Amino acid sequence: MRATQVLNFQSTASSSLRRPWQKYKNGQLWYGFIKSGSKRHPITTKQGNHTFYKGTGSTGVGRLNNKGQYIMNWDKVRTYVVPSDLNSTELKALVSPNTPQIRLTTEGYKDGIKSAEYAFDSIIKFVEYGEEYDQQDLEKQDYEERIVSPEILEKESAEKLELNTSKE
Amino acid sequence: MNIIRRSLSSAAPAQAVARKLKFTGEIKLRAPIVPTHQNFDVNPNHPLWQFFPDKTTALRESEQLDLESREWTMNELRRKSFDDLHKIWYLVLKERNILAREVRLGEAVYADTSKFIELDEKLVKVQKRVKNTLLERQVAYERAQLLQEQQDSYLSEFKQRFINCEESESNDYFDKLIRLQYAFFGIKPDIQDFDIDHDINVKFAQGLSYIADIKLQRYLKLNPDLQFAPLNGVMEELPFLLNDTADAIEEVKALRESGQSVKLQKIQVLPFLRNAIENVLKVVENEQEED
Repeated sequence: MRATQVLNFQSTASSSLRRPWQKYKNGQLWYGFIKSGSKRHPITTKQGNHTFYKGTGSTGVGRLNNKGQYIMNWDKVRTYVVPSDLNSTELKALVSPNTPQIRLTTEGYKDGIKSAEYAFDSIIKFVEYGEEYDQQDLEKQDYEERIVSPEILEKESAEKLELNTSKE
Repeated sequence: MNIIRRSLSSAAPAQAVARKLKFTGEIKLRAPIVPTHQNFDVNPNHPLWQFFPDKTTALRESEQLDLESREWTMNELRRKSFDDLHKIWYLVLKERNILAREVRLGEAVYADTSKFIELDEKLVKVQKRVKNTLLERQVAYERAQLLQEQQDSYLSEFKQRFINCEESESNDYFDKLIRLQYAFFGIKPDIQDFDIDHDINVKFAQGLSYIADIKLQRYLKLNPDLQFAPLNGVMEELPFLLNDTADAIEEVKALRESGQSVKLQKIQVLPFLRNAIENVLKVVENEQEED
């Protein structure tokens, strides 16, 4: 459909194509606006004009062909990927109250666990040492997990060396 | 014009009565089954039983609920793999479905549902934390994509180490290369896991040329007498991913002698790779069937 540019010459072609979607409030009764009563509710399926389609997000997974048969479009059908060994897993939805909580400290990373350097260092550790690159015995460490950048680790080891040499 | 005339033959009803139905002798009338739930056998393993943790009652008492357990903390979830988080999410979801059913039923019979809702709030918290953990990982991953310089320098440094490594470290370095191709280029270790549509992309092609180059350089270092021209495009690089280096070199030599080795245009690269890997997968499948 062509935009009627003559009638609303003030608006652009694209905005007149988007009619009647008004984005400002001028007191006119519009979608979801009512004159009285409690106003802050989502509009229902019965409100809005003839172009308003709310739906339930449930149907419309196919189309009718000319013989009246419904052709399913399986790409539109919702799928739930459930883990295959869900029934045999030892994990639980909640944790026992006796389980000690873990504290986490990050050193040398600007934005903690979200920093790019941390992700990159982890990738390199994975390549070099395999899947179990970051095994820490938390019971020995009093349930404190330390994530330290390699530079700080190097500094620490250098300081230790210096200490040892000075003692000797 | 077509007018359909229906003539009702007077002989038809008489014929119908005269013809005896085949099974009339076998049917025996019996008392009707009253449609109550006691008259139906329900399979004890029916999946819908998962909505009922206690099969004897539809609505548990508040004392039966596990109100003492605590939520997973963020620090605990951060240590879990994606698969574990996936499992925790679905365990929580199942639990919440049970509670939602019980709250709905409880409201209908005016029972006290406050404890059920209390437990549900804990489970919601776990779900939010699982999402948050995944979000943190995604943020870090996307930020790491921008560290192009570090990636390139690591790749070139790894290449030098790989080529110049000792004979005893060789196996170790090949394992490292398999992990590297997965971490940096998304090339899975086992060819049978390849998803032709999604896994074979620009990154894959980049990784392929890196791997082929690194393996060839290593081989040439070990066999300095070998005369071998540099690789020319994906057609010659692909054997290095699929086979041992020695076999791949023989394959490439045969390809060059037959004159079929061509440097492909950019637009031809991915279709060629998809087609070639699909063929390899078919061969593997056929071999498995024969076994």
